[in-house]
Amino acid sequence: MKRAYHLNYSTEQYKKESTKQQISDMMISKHFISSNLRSVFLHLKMLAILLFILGITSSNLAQSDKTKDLSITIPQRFSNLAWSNFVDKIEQNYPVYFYYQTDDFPDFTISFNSDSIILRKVLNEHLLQYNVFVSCDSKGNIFLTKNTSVSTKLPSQFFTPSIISNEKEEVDKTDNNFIQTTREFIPETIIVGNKEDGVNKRSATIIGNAINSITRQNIEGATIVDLISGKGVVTDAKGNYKITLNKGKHVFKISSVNILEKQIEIDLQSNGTLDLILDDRVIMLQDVIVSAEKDNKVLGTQMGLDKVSTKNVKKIPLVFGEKDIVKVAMLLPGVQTVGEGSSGFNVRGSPTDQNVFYINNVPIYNTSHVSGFFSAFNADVVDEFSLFKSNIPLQYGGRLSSVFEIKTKTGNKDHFTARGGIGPITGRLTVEGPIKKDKSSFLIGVRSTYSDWILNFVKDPIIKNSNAQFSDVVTNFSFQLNENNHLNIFSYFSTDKMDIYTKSKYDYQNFGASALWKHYFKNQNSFALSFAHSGYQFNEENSQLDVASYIHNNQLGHSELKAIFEIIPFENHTMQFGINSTLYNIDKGIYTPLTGTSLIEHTNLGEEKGLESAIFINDEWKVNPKLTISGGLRYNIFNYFGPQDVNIYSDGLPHIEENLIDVAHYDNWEAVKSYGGLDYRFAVNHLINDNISVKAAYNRLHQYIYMLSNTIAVSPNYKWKLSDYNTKPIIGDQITLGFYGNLWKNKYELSIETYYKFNQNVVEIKDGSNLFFNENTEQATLQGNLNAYGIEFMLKKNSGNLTGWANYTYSSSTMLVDSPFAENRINYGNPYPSNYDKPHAFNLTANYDFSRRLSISSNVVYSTGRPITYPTSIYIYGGVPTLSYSSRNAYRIPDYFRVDLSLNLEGNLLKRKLGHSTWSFSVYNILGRKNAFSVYFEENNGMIKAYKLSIFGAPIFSVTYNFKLGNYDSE
Amino acid sequence: MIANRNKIKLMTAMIAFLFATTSCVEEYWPELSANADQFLVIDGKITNFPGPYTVTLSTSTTINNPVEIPLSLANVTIIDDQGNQELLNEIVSGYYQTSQGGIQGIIGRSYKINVQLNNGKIYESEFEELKKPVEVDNVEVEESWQFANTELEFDQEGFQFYVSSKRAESAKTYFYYEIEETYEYHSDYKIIFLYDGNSYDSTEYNPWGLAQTRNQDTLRYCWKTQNVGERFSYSTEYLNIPVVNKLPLHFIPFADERLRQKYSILVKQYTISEEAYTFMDKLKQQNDNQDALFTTQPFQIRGNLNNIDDSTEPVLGYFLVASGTNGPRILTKAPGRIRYDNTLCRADTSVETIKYSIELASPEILPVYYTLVYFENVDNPMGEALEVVAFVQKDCLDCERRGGVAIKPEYWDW
Repeated sequence: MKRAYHLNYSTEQYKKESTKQQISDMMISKHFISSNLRSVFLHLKMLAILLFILGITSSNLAQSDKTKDLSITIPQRFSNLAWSNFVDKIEQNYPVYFYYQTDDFPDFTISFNSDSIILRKVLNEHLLQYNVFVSCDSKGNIFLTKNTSVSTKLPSQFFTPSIISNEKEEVDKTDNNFIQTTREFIPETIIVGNKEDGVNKRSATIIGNAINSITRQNIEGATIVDLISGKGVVTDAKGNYKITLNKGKHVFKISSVNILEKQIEIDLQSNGTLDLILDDRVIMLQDVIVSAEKDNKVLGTQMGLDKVSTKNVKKIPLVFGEKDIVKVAMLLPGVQTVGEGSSGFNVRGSPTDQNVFYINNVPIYNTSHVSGFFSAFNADVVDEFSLFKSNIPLQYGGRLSSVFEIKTKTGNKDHFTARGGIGPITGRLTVEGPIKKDKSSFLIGVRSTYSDWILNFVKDPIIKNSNAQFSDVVTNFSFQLNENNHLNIFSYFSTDKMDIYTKSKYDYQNFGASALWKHYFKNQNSFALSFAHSGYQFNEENSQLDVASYIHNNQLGHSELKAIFEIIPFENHTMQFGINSTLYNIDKGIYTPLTGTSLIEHTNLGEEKGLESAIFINDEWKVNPKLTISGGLRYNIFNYFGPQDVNIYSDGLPHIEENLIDVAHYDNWEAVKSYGGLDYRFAVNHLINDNISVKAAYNRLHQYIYMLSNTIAVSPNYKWKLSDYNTKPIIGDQITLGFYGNLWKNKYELSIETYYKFNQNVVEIKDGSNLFFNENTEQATLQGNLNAYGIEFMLKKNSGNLTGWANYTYSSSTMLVDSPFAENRINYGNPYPSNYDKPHAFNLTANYDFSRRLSISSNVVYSTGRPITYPTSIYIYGGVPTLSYSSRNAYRIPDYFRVDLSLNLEGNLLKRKLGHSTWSFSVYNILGRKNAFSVYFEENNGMIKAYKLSIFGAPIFSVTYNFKLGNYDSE
Repeated sequence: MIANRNKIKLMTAMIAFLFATTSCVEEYWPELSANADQFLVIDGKITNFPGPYTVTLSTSTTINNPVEIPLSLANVTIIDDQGNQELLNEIVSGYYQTSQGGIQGIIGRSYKINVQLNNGKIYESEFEELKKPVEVDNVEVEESWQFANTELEFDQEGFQFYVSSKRAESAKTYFYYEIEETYEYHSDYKIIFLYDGNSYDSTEYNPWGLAQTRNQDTLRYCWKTQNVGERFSYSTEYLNIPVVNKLPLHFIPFADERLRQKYSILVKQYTISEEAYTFMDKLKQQNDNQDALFTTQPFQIRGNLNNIDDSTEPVLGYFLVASGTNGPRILTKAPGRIRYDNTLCRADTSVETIKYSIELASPEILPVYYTLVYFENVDNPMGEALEVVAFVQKDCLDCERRGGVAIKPEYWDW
């Protein structure tokens, strides 16, 4: 996109001087141009044509406008100077700006050897060959347009008030406290420090933080130049800066790649703090964050990371119009699911329970609503999510396959605002605002269903009288305690209720809260301390059979403490070290009779607790500008604590009732079993050039908790279980090799990653074992090995009217559960494909902006059908034809293919309005393809029949209405 | 547990209905390997009911072409823990039976089976005890609805049968049910004439000289008794009182032909071993739960026989040691509001048909039956109806050809 501007001419001035009559001023602010030139030029082009028709010769206007700017004489010789450098030079030395669309601007160099030359001549000489026209206005704005020239002036009465009666939304936000000075607009003077403290001192130091006014994120690499003294500093990775200046008046000019340049006048009286709230430069015009710098995959040693901002997913079409970040994650390479409606997902051929979801440090154990159809995260409050698929950062442990880290937005520290939406299934509302302006803020997001009306259309009295409800609430409080301390308090709650009339009731809840304290030391070092607690409970009332009706509740508690230091001990080293401790409490629950007539026995399945503690240290060493190495160790110790009655089986024999020799009792907090394990990470990045790198990583992790679920698609009533006396921790190794490239001026991002994974002690459920009522789960489970490998290709386009990504993955995932004992084998001890092994997967997601108000987007999803077990023979038993199954997952269901489409219509672009709204129309599975969820055989009245079940066998249309306070750009 | 099993299924139904407009089930036959596993299959039991007891041996076969392949020439021996044993006779290919007055299931004793195939392989089960039977307390029937889970099915109204037992002595008692149904059915027409190869006196409306039957209803009313092809099992393992209380058994929709006249069931309640229950339960789950969203991985369900030389060889089916009691017989009839469609049986009065049916009748299909149909006399509407001889397919006249017997069971009148 457009490079940074270094101007001695502020945008504020630009805007203030503009008048309504001047189309260039109205339609083109610098910001506007730099971000979405194409649409602007489209407008301009249309206007030019219009003018032409009206008999106003636009060329005449442009040509006759012999402004002094284009007559500038350049008293210099240039030889093969890159165009962009030339622009910078000219802009630095003369009061002109260049406006052009960088996306498709030709790449060339400027050369001339005359000692003085007129700028217009230079431009024309170099640009006409590319069919680029040069136009300019009286303000020194030079417009370079392809194939058409721009008229920069209009008759003053050209627009009647009805066409543009209101001030068009302008992207630059001029603070009200800006006042006009002779040449520039700068704000009222800000006083830093106070006179008393500054007595007898010549100079004073200002420290502060550069913060994005919208995202509230710290801005790295912003340049702060004092125009008076010429001194300058650049903000660090945390957005901090420090500058020492003489007391007195200063004018700061702050600029950076993605922010709007700003000038402020300062009266420095003593040491003090000044936070710089800066406006985003690009975000306002396009919904995709252009983050070439921030998420540069080429740099750094991190691999297997996909980072997606919710702005990126804003327009992705989704089922029932619900923006769903988990569904978006499934469009990323290496992410698969057994089928629509399965809870969770599978990353790089690993089981669902090897993923952990953190939302602002709070782990969420059930991430779906309505058993897998919707994710439990309200996209309105989510800022971005990162999916770590390999080389998981050392501060995370305990899950082998992936960490899904969700960062929510923090409340707006400047003003109160609200947003929300209504779709066919849910309604949403998010409110945010300052508690104390610029210091602290709150954000509350609520989402709830009102989907019961759908059920009324169903004839079946059971379903008609049933209901399903869900809702979730997020609160986030952010406090800037002082310049070095930041506190964040977050909470999450979600609840699901399903009541199947006269049969059963379910409800489950996630609840969690976290507190995060961040402290920045002076020398770019920082410390973060977080405490989080998360709970999950599942309650079930089953009244299917009156005499066997029961209530069962089970719950899980996860309390986690984490302390991390991030320091830069020497040049080129970044170190991270800390501790991380998690206490798990699992209450497997009690079965109690539901009614007086129920004969169900009161059964307590017991509780368990375990403490996973870890100490870790990591160093990233920039060996030379081309080579970065990162390595770290994490020592985990897992203690499984009493009170517990532990089944002891004969050594080396299968865990079956017959081999049970003793039951040992352990008291409260007595360690039943301890497992120690060393995790390690090693990664290396070799930069081939600025835009291409190769990386390799190897890591090992340990996992001490697993899911008990015996269904193919994970059903919502799964339970969690800790590694214990009889079940060993799961160990995972992964080796990854990758190639990364930023192509064509960062417009495209290409990555190719290949991985090999080996997991030991993966828990599988024995064939046909009962997981309900089971007090001895070790008798129902086996442990085996998982082998997975794959290669992922990902091409991403981040800028332009067309954005999106396409990826292809080839992968394999195989389980092996073998043992000398036949009863401890699955599939006779032969390897079998895992349920989510889908060798070929292709995803495409694309968004095209026709204009700022209209865009369409589409997903194309293809994958090989999942493996399935078909019967291998048939026999008659008891007069009934009976199927016999033998080789597990030897067949596959038909391939999956789906196309979704959505159209987004934004409300008008008026600047001054109370609220802005968006309509989104989407169609999920527009081809109506009946994708198989499963294929099954059934005996009925002596006949064997086979059926194909599809979940979404027809296109699903949905309309969603979203609104927010403020205008199009409001965040 | 039934409750648990249905849980997931219900949840699926719920979700399926939530997305009622879109989810769908259609018939689909995937490509399957033509090479079927050929495993030994055993089916049989010894009970406390008087013998003889039957054991069948067969081989599993391909799904595309399911036929029972009997296994002949095996030595099948039932052995008890007292050292008694009996070698069963192969009465039909693959059917082995104890002799009249042979081995008898005695409560408290344990039994096993030994099978020696003619290829030399020997299979044996473990001893299982013939437990004390538990009395059936009651069998009930209620009108109820069965709702469709997929668009291929319909919501159906019908009879739901339930069973309740007396309290079992053992806390962990495992039940297995066999349901014997008996229903009455009628042929659509009386047999009035027959052609037995001879020619008799012809009359005006019997120009072919067919014989007139004496008792026209002999083959008109039949009763068919068969086992309901559904498996039911139940465990009291997780109950605080070992009793079966109103366990739903089979459902029969009113639209079913079996309810056209009268319908009766006899519930046999067997007490079986835990292993046998597990086997039965797995079979049922595997068949019933596959249509759901959250299904378990199907797997091979082996029975209780093992190759004594190679325990890895799968043997399908189970030799049950089961002590049973019969429940009270239940007789019922569809409510009067239920209307049944006419049958597909046609009475053909065309002269050619009758002529050919006589001329072409081969000796082995004799006798050929005919009925009389009545037509309104168009020439004389007030006069007597015209009687015309009609040919009807034999299955529509001789009810025994549809599997039943024309002997009314003694318990039938009620």
